[in-house]
Amino acid sequence: MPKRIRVKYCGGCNPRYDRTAVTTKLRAAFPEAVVAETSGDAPDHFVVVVCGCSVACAVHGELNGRAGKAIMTSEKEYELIAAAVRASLERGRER
Amino acid sequence: MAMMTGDQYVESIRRMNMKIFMFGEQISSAADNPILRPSLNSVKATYDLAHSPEYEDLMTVKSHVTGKKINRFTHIHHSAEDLVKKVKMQRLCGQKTASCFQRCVGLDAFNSLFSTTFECDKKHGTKYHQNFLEFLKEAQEKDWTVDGAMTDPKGDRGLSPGKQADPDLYLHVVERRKDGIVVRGAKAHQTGICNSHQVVVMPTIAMGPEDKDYAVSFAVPLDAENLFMIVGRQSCDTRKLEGSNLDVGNCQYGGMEALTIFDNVFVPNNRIFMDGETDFSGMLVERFAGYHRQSYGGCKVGVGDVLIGAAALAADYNGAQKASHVKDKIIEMIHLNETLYSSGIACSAEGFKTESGNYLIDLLLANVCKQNVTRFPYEITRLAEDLAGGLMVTAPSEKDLRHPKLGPYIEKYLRGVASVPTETRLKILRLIENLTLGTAAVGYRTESMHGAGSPQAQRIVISRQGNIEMKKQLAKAIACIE
Repeated sequence: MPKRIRVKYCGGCNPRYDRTAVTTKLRAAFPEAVVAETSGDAPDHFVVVVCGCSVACAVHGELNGRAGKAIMTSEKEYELIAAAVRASLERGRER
Repeated sequence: MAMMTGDQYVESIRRMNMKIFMFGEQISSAADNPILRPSLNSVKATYDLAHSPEYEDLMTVKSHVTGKKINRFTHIHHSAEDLVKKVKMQRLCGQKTASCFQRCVGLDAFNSLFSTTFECDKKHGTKYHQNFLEFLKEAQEKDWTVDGAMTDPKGDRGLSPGKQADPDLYLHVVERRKDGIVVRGAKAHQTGICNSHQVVVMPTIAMGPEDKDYAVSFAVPLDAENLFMIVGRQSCDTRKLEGSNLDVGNCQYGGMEALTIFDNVFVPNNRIFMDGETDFSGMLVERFAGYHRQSYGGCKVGVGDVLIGAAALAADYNGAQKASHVKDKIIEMIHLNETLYSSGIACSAEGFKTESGNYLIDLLLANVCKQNVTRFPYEITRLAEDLAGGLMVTAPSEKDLRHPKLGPYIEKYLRGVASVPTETRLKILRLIENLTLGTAAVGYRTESMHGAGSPQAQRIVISRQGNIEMKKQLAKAIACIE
């Protein structure tokens, strides 16, 4: 069963970059996983909180991935986030 | 149904049997009228955005009543963070519609009534808070848009409600029955009222004991018997009848206002939230006004974001974007807009818990916020007009642009930089015209002046809340005055 990468956005009142582009890039980078913008029945493997600015006001306390969670506040952080997702998927494969 | 989609909302309004008059004729529904439909679309956006993952963090919240996910426009604020998110949501909605999205008055009425009815019941042993909670629960469950109606026509401003030559110039109770009350009067300038499911009526000023019949608050559906609306005109409104998307500037969204008449409207007991408790009239007015003055630190900022973007594009299309004075004017617009946002956020972050448990904004900062709103959008529009150039008011119509003989001349002579089509340039100039002196100027300019109270109303609160005695003590201490 493909692992679920849950993307949670902040509310987007004044984003400094295109937040939905992060989802598009994650989908392209990790075709073996399901990158979802909404909660589903299956547990989340990893949660990526995509915030449009450094205030990072998204409410995500109830969202927790089995392999972790990362919060993104700038476009520059994408590679770091993608690396964290990649590492979590690889760890999952090793098990 | 805890949250409607935009389409479900439109259908729900279409199904209502409202009595709306415009240009001397009754119209069936805002949903099917070309002048009113853009205003309905603005409210519809508040439903659509709530279903979008990229905006739901601001647009939705968990109800403290039912625990269900609801649209934030029906929420009772239970923290300073809730108040901050309200302002951010309003900025977002302003950005997406470039107009008044009309739904905040209901939200502000909910929150002011929540705390006022609680405190009124505590003092007088009345049951208004329970009435209000039942109404709120239904509003959340059905995802209603609710109009908050405060402004009475007021007649002679030098006279109290009961002393007016015509007693109906302030809405009042004309009959008390076993099962409810009958009210008569009017509420002026009601933004979005024909796009709402219900109206919550509140008194417009603090009342004395002699004005018992005027201290009344209640909710009724907008298709209640003997209730009707007369839509107000907006500058350039009939351009919407001409079939030109270009000439209207914003063909998707807009606002609307109406004089709303209550010509002996019956209100059942369970929808009454105040009836004669004159000592709580002032509290309700002050709290509603406070929340609504906070609102303007979000919604006008969002519209300002669009206008600043439009002005910057106009400069690009004129090839003037590198001129230092152009850059500086855009900086000034951003500075003014973010100053408005700052006070909207500040009065929210400094919010505090009321006896009822909900959160109220800092009244001083909310009034400072609104006082700034009475000024800065005017300066922002002045700068936008400066950057746009005179063409924003002298450009020919879309019909001329499409004309086989005239069109090529317009295309040739009204082009700015060669890389941008003339039509694109005209589109942005029409948007600026719409916001600065067209239909949207009602919301962005004059509503900024008078909506949520005219400037003097804020100065009265600022004077009361300004803590001047403490400031005098500070000066005395520094100056070594005993």
